[in-house]
Amino acid sequence: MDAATTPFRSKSARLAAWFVLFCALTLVAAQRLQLGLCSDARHAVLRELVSSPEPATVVFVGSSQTARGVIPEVFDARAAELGVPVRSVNLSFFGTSRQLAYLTLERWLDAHPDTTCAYVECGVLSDHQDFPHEALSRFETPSDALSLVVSLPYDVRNAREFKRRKDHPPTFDPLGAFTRIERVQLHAELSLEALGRGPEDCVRALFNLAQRRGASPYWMPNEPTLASVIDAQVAERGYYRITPDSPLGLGGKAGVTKQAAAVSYETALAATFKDLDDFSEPTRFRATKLYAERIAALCKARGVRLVFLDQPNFRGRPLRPSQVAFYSQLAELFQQDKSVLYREESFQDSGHLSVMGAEFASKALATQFVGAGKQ
Amino acid sequence: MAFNSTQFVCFFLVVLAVHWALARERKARFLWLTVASCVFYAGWSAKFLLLIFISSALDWVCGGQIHRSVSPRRRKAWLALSLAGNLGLLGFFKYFNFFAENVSAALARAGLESFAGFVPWHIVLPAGISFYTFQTLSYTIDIYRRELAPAKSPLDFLLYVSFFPQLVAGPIVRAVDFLPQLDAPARFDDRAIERGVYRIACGLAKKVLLADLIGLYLVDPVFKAPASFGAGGVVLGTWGALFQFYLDFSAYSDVAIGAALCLGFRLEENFDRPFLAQSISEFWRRWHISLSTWFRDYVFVPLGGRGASRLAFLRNMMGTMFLTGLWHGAGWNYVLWGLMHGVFTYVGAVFRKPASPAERAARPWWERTLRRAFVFNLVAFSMLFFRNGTVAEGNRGIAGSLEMLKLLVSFGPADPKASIATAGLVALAVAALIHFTPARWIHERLRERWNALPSMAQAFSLVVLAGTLAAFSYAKAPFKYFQF
Repeated sequence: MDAATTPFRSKSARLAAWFVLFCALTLVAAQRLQLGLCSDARHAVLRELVSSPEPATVVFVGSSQTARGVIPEVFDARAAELGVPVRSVNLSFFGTSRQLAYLTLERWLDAHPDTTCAYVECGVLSDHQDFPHEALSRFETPSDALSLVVSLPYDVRNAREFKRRKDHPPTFDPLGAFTRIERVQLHAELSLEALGRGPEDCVRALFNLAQRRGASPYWMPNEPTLASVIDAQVAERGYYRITPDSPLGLGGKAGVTKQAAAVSYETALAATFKDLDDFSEPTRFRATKLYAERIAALCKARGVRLVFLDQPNFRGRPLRPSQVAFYSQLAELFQQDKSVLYREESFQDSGHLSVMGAEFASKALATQFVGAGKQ
Repeated sequence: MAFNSTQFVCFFLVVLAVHWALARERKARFLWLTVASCVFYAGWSAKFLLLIFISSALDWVCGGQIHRSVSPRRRKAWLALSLAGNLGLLGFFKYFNFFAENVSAALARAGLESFAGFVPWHIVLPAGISFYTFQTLSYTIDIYRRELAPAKSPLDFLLYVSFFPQLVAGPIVRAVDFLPQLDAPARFDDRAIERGVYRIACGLAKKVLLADLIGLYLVDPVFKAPASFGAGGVVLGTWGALFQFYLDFSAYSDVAIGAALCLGFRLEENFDRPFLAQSISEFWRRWHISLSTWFRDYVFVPLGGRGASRLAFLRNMMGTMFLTGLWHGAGWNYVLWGLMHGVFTYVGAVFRKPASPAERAARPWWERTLRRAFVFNLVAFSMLFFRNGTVAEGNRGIAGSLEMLKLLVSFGPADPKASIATAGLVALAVAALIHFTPARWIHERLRERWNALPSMAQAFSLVVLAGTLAAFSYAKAPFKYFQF
């Protein structure tokens, strides 16, 4: 090899070094808050919510299910009615994974040490590997990514893979070594993807900034986050929801109607818990379990009461025992049929509550909250 | 691991750094490249690595035996074993479902209705099997023809088969071109790496900013609901489909050639601005060159080539193009597409006087333009059948093609409410502009400017490009030729 063209003193080596450095710098610039490697809108929105000066002492953290399933104003009013004035805030945001829930809660508690109670979504969707939130999980910090790569494995690659493995549980796999290579490779890929996300975030933010004419580079200019719609609704009734006659609202309703036709009221109620996945299979739920434990430890360390919140689906999956208990209590409280949350009008779409459903759920949660506080 | 992913960028940087760090250690370097290639392939399926190992082992043994054997019968027997093994694997994994579906449909039509839709197993197509099978076949055939000596070690041979830049979607590299490069000492060439990086960047930009946008905004809507777009939309859609396939596949080849260049290897060019062709046979000399030359050398010529008569030529040409079509996919539409090209090529070759490159260049500009437009539209017409894919792949198949054809012939009007997104048309126009203008106007000028930049500015431009590509990767569409 020619000394003048030694690989590590060449222009190519300098190019590679500069490239890696620029990638790292853009990563830091894009995720300067704490290198949380999540490029969607949610970080910016959460940042705004977390830094809110409102003196709330009850906090809700979860995905869109909780975002639409809990109305803080209704929760607060019901608690006040029962003689315990509180102020709650709902930090939930669409697509929030367990990892992101942990980070959000941690940030909130840093900024608001007076918090007494945290509700963290732990429902069917947020724990299910065939749901994109978890199946396409974005690791939150490089150390998380690396620790999952090293300690291995939660094994589901995507929804289809999940279904395949669920239908045909592995018994004897003569090609097990190859499967293992595949898993290692998947985690390595995810880590690499996380590390390469800096340039993407910067450029995406710039494009968004230009497209939205200087408005926030993160907020999407359509429902459900069009600022003018949110402002108008907040001014009118104190909270925001997707409007039922918008395309999203109509689409969701159509889904509910279809599901109602497919699964009868009686069938939904008769379904049992036994088919549901839980944490019993350690590898599959490694990430969600890890973060559930972290959330519990965090709340314990900060002296915060922790409630895992299990959000319903419209006749999509059987109820968990905790849900059955909750709905029964709800029925007693409001003289409703115990299946109140399995009615069509309680759902905006098959995965999210409507205003009516959310109002019932929020009141019930507040009642539980006050009851638990008195014990 | 797809080329258009951040994982690949990170993977490639690591592979490149270690590869050149091991430049003086031949065996360690090849071992590293082979392991890296296996990791790369495991991104699709680690299990199917086993197939590569089996195929490689078979041809390593067969190649050695053919070389050592003196008896022509033994040589032929070993070659037959190699052909049977490789084509058997390819046939089983690629064509079993197709075969079973057709047999069950025929049985159902014959009155045995319980066989309707019966397919005993649903075989998954391993990524790149069509490509590496042809590579390993060329190895044993070339040894049999005494045009090539066997690889010096199993590691060399495995690296030849599994070399990751070209493993899953070509170009189809011949052993006779690749193995001698393994014998040459590794020589770090800064300029070659610079050219390679530029080629990779161009390939990725071509894929994400042009091919995917054309596909997403122009081709997909038109092929999904052609009646809404009328005859005009169908014409634009087929032009778009042709450009999309070209850009997509040539982009893959660009990245493969660029990546190989960075690692000190040279792969043959796979495309040579095919829409500048003035005849169909010239088109096939410019389009997917590694495949067309493979079929020429290992099928068409052994069958007899142009033969002694027009009939023999027709038979050989149609046989070759039938196999070319079938190679692209297990579906009658691909077969039809291949046969159409067979007819086009045959008619063009028989009824037109062959022209040398100098003669073609000497034609007046209007004649060149007319010829190019004719060839382009003929190929685009065939794309109508190719792009509709098979019903098994979730496409509309031949029925969809016939519907589009009917719309074309009847000058079907468009639905006034339907419109093609501007992004798709702009991407098509940009692609056409780059393709049809002389290379020195845009491509070469850009490359010269980029080469002249200092390393920091080059890196900065790459980061901006990487971010732009990531931001535009809406669909994260895989490269089209993976499915073949």
